[in-house]
Order: sequence, then C-alpha cells, then structure tokens
Amino acid sequence: MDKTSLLKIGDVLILSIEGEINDFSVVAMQDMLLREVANTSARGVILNISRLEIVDSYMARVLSDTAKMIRLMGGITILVGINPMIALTMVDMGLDIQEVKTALNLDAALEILRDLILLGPYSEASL
Amino acid sequence: MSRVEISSEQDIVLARQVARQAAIGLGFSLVDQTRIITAVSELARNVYTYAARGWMTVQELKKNTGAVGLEFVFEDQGPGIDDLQLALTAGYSSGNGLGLGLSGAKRLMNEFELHSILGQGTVVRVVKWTK
Repeated sequence: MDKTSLLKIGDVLILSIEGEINDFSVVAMQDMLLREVANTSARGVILNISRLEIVDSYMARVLSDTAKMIRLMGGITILVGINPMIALTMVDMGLDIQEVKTALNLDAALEILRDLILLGPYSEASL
Repeated sequence: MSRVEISSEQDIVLARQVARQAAIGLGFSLVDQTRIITAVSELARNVYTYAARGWMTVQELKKNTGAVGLEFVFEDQGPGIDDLQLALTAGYSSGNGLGLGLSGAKRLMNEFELHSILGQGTVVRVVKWTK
C-alpha cells in the first residue's frame, strides 16, 4: 500500500490515493478499504484524490463501484479533491462518477459526513 | 521518437509518464496535459486489456504553419475490433470498463484514427496540437 494512506478520525475513514497508482493497486486498495470499513465499523468514508494525476474511465469505474459497495455495507462515501483539470477532462470525455457525493475539501467532507451520520441515512436524499 | 512496450499494468503507468514528459516538453497547458495523459491511459489500457501486449510510440509533429503537436500511435497484434462503429459508441464495452475509453480518447484529442483487421491487430493514432 505504498500509493495510499488511510486515516481514521472518529467514525470516518480517510483514504488518500497517491499519484501514479496502477490498475492492480487500485483494486488492492479497494479490497483493503472495504475490509477496514468492516473491521472499524466506520460510518463514513472520504476518498481523497487530490494527488491523483488523472481520472480515466477505469478509475471512475472503481471509485463509483467502491462507493456502491460501501453503501451496501451501510456507510456513506464522499469524494474529495477533483482538481479543475480533471473536472474539465472528465466532462469532455462524458465521464461521471455515479452515486458518489463530492466535496471541495476535507473540511467540507467531514462536515457533510457529520451531519449525515447525526441525522441518519434517511437524510441523505435531502442533500 | 520514443517507444513504450505495453505488456503489464505498470506499463500503462509508464506510458502516462512518457506522455506527461512529452506534453510538458512541448509547453501544453495543464488542462491539455491532463487531456493527453488521460487519452494515453485509455488507449494503453485497451492494448493491454484486449491484446495483452503491444506498444506506443510518441513523436513531435510540426506543420508548415508553425503549429506543433504530439502524435501517439498504439499498435498491437491482438484480435482486432469486429465493429469499429460500435467500439466508438460512447457507453459500449466488450470488456468490463465503462465503454468510454475509445470514444473518450477521441474527444480529448484533435485527431483520431483507428484501423483494425480482425485476427491481425489494431492501430490507433491520436494527435494533440498546442493551439
């Protein structure tokens, strides 16, 4: 796991994905994260991709799938750190990351998660 | 001209690194660097996913008008593409991707050519001009 770091703050896991990760490591990272969600009973997960160089269709797919899996396990995922270049490129390509909430930065993500965890899952739809 | 062999997942990362160096060298904007690296990532992954091995070549192009560009050619001797129109349709995938690799790469670059012969292989050529 040299390309990623995982932190836990209260009920929240923060996974930072580093720059030049290959496809195999992305899947290993997904496995590791899901195990940590189960082991720590985390309620929220923040995926920080501010150090990623690009988001291509494969990475978009993995991020989206990861969020779906975490939702199935009862957690909430927030994606943080899509830079302007990546946002432009994704829209050019027609790429979207489905079923994932996004936040501008870690502070905003923690705030959203705190509200969601406090208010419960039914408040998700109201955001 | 530089050449990158593609026969592992790590080679896709290497292709991205070579593309980034080339794009920085030609003075592309940060957004265009991101577009180029993303397109290269998609096309290199296609080589690995569908043909298992192949290669990418990169070279600088110059027009008489003074325009400068980067050309990437991806070549493999894999199974080839049965239906080119279908393969270029956004959302269609014969693999397990999002089906946006080829169509996405086309949208990110200025020029895009795809040649494929069933049973013989596939060549994809893309170019991005600095302006």
